[in-house]
Formats: sequence, C-alpha cells, structure tokens
Amino acid sequence: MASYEINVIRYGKSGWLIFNSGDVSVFTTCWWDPNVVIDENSDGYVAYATHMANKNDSVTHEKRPAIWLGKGVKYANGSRRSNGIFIHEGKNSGWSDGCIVAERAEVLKIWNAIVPKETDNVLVKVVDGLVGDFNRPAQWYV
Amino acid sequence: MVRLIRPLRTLLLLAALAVGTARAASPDPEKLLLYNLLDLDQRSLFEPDRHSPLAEMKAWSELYAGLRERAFADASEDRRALKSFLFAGWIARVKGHFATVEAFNTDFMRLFEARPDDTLRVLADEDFMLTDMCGYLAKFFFFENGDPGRRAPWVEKHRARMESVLGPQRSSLCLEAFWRVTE
Repeated sequence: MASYEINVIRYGKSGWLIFNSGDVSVFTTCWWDPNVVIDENSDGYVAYATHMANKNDSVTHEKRPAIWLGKGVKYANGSRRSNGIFIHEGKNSGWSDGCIVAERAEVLKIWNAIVPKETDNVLVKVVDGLVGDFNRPAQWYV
Repeated sequence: MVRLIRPLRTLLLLAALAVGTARAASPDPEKLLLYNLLDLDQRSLFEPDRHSPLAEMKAWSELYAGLRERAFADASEDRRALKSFLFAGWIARVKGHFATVEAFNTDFMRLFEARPDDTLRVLADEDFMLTDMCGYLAKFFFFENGDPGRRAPWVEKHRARMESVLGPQRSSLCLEAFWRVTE
C-alpha cells in the first residue's frame, strides 16, 4: 500500500504534475519527450524516491533527486517496456529523453516530502486529460 | 545484416563469460550488460537478501558510472573499456534505459572530445553502434542547455578526422544519422 500518490495529467505535449501530502501541495507543469509517451496507468506505477546516479542536481551538483517509476514501464502503446524512467528536474521537454520533467523546486518539494526514501511507497498515476478540457481543474481527474 | 551480426557476436562472447560464474556480492559487469540487453531475470545475479527492483536499477547505474570512468583512462590494446562504455550507451538506447540515455547524451560528447581518434576507431571496429552513437553526438546539441547552432562548426571541426578513421562510407552514414536528429 503506497503512502504517497503523484498524478500526471497529460494534455498534448505538456501536462500537470500533482502531489498532495500533509502541508505539501504541488501543482505544476510537466513535460516529456514526445517520442516516448508512457502508457496511461490510472492504477499507478509503483515508484521510489531515490537519486539518479549519473545525473547531477543543477544547483547542488550532487546526485540528482528523482522519482523512479520502477521496472517494466510500458510505452509506445504497450509495445515496449522501460526500466529507466524517472520524474526529475527540467525546464522543458528538451530536458527529457524519455523521463517526465518539471521545475526543480517543485520536484524537490515532492521528493523531500516522501519518507522514507528508496522504498516502493509511491504510486505515480498517469492519465490523459481531454485536450479541450485544459482549463478544467486538474483535481477533477484526481 | 552487419547491424545484427556484430551485437550477436558480442553477446555470444558475453554469454560464454556468464555461464558458470559464481554469484558475487556485486553483479559481474559483463553479465549485467548481457542480462539488461536480453531482459533476463536478474535474481540469480544478486545475493538473495540484496535483490530488489531498486537494487537492479542501482547496479545498472553503478555499472554505467564505472564503465564511464574506465573509458576515459582506457589504455588497453583492444580498447575494451571504451567499447564496453559505448556498448552500455547503445544498450540504453535500444532497451529504453532513458535515465542512462540522458546521461550518455552528455557523457559521450565529453568522451569524444577527450579521445576523438580512439572513439572513432571503436565505431569503425564495432560499426553496429555507429548510427546510434552519431545520433547521440547530435542529441548533445539539443539536450538540456544545448545549442543546436553549434552543430555545423562541430561537424566541420571533426569531418576530416571522421573520414580518415571511419572511411568515407561509415563517415557518410554517421553524418546522415547526425543530421537526422532535429530535437
């Protein structure tokens, strides 16, 4: 049973990254590589707050805090699987070659709120919103 | 056809290395490359109390970091550390290890700039990786804070070296792959 939930609601080439836990509330824009669209999963990918061992935080230059979506994440309409997809800092889709990215400060709010780290205590739910409903409150989907 | 034969030859060599090796505290690097490439069950590579999905991800990440470090210092006659690092980057691309792909986007350009002749010789020898590696070189100019406008001067700087080491046909294939990357 996961203790935390992250919702990704996609509208075309960007979307919302939503997280609520205790006093921490995040509602921010996220992006991804348009060539790597992971499959919708309203049940959620079992995920972990950890570090990317080979990418550094843009400010501290230490290993980059990130949320790992676990093994076997389906993408390309279920035709492929990946063991290497994270949610991590990024300023736009140019910071992604397959991962989901959002502003550093917002990702860190989520990462810091998740305790303990390195545990499968996070569910990342990914759904496609209706493009015409971009202005509908994203909480409607959550 | 060459694109298939070369990785298969490499795999057969790695498979021979993998058979019969005792389970160690840390997974054997060659086995880990093979197991990731073929999506094999990795439980047998770990001590039972050390295995988890997260441990698999970390083992792959540590393998990559170790290969990267050794590639910069590789002085072996057969360039085995360079080849292994490029092979890890190639596996990341073909198997969708996207966090590793993102790291390789930057790391491979650093390695290329530090050791252009050695890197090109590896690509000439192991040309099943050629187009993916040339795509990585192009991606560097788009990724994160990259500047696509610097691509043409970069190509001009290295064109003669590419043609000399890769030969005209492979050099042409490389540049075609390079310019196909547009974002």
